[in-house]
Amino acid sequence: MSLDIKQIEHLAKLARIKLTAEEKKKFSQDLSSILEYVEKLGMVKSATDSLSQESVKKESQELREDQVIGIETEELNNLHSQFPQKEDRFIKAKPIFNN
Amino acid sequence: MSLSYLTINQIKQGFKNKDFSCSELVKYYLTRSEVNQDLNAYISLNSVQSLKQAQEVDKRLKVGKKMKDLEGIPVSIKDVILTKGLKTTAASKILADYTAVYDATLVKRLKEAGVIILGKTNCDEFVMGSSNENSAFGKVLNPWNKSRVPGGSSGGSAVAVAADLCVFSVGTDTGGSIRQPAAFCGVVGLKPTYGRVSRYGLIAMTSSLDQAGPITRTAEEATQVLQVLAGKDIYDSTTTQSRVENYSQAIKKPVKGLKIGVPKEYFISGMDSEIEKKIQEAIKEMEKLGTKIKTITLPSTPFSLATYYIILTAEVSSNLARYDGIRYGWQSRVTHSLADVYQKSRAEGFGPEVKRRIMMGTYVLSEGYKEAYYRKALKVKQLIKNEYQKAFKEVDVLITPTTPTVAFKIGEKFTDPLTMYLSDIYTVAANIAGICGISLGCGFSKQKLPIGLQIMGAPFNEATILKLAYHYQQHTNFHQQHPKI
Repeated sequence: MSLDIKQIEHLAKLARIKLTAEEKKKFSQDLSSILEYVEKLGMVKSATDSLSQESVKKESQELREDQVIGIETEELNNLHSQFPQKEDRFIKAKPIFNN
Repeated sequence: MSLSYLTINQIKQGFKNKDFSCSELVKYYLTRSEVNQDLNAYISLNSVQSLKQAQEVDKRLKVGKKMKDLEGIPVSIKDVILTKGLKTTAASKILADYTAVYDATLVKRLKEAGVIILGKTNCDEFVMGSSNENSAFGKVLNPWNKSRVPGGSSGGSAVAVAADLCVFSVGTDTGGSIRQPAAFCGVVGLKPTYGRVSRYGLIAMTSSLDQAGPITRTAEEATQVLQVLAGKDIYDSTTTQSRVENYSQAIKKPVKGLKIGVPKEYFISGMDSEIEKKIQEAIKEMEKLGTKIKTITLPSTPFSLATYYIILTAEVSSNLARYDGIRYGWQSRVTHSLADVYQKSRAEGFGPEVKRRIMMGTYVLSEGYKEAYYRKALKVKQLIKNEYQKAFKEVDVLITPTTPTVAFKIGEKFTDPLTMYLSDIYTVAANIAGICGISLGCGFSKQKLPIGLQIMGAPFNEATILKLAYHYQQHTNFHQQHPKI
């Protein structure tokens, strides 16, 4: 399987990363060679056929009780201080629709 | 008294005997870290706080207070583990100015045990790499030979321990990121079983495989650190209830009769002959200790790496979606719309390997390919898991080399990602199979580069691999050899 520039552009759009022309070219080569390598998993076909999706065990997880624990002012201020753009205690973001 | 290369027990004894103060010790490591800045092991040093804390310890020592388990022990923490009030960058430009607002559970436990955090260690960006060349804060040099890589992703941690810039470090291991750099730097690196140590407060790469563990100079110290890190945490639902035994007691028990499996798939033709020779010597040494050696087969081993790179990239693409430049982290300066902010912030903030893996993960999870790649990989993962489980019915531990080569040259594999990925070929299986593994030095190449031996054990059987590592070190002196820097 090899990925052409158009497919790379589509993936970049899905991944929300703006790529340069140079990066597109490099990633097209890199991803194609990585895909070629991982395709060796096709060779274990017969062995995994006997494994149904159900037999792929889910890790057991024990969830804690859902509780509101609140937040301290210091912690809150620390979080606010990390906002790249803000107004008072609010995050400022660019418009979703650009006219 | 010389302060160089002290063990945890020697420090405790030294404090007790008043051979040196905690302040002297902290100053020793801070000075040494500054003198050896070219190694680039640390991203940030916590000098002021460390010295202040050391003075507190000295006050307590003076009045003869009872010391906590790791009180006054100066350590370093990989910079993907959150440390409240300290910068935690994940070695990425996107988090270059990020200050953690809470402590990871393991950091909290270490602090409760009394450690002093000297600083945060360098690593590959978002732990993605095997050479520590992917850090936004510059590459890390191997103290045994500065033209060589230290391994990755916990390269800074391994170097800090090997070069005596701290007593021990805590790193993370998703496919070998503790064990591989430990092997390249001639120190001990333990990857506990998934679920043994809390992941709460680790910056996630591959949530289903990430696990934190100690990097130390001796197996005994790895045991002491694990004792503090291990256990159930309500903030990480994947930590298990299974009992944390008294490791320090367990490792002192005899190894006689222990069954060691040598999987033939790890000793393939064309492997580095120096490494093969040293591993065989180590196996002979272990036989002398009364263990029984058996050749076994793990036929799916050649598929571990491919399985790993599908599961890993899939989770990377999802886990790293949160870095969008809105709530924290790097935000692009010139933007016109929200979508623009996302795309440019991520383009400017992430390095090439991170982008490559996000792209790959997006592909393997995309419509039409998910079945062929991701689901398939999960099935092969189960197959590998079953094989290792079966193996541990026959033998107690497995022995393999940690890496296929010794530390390679800086730049040697940097432009070819696939060749770089192959550096993890011997370590990924432990993560895929959900078992534990430890790497320790078993000799040196002709060029005086460390060679690592890997011992793997059944899930939650850290005590057994630590025991074998401990006894091996009691009878060898590779761990007492240090780089001349």
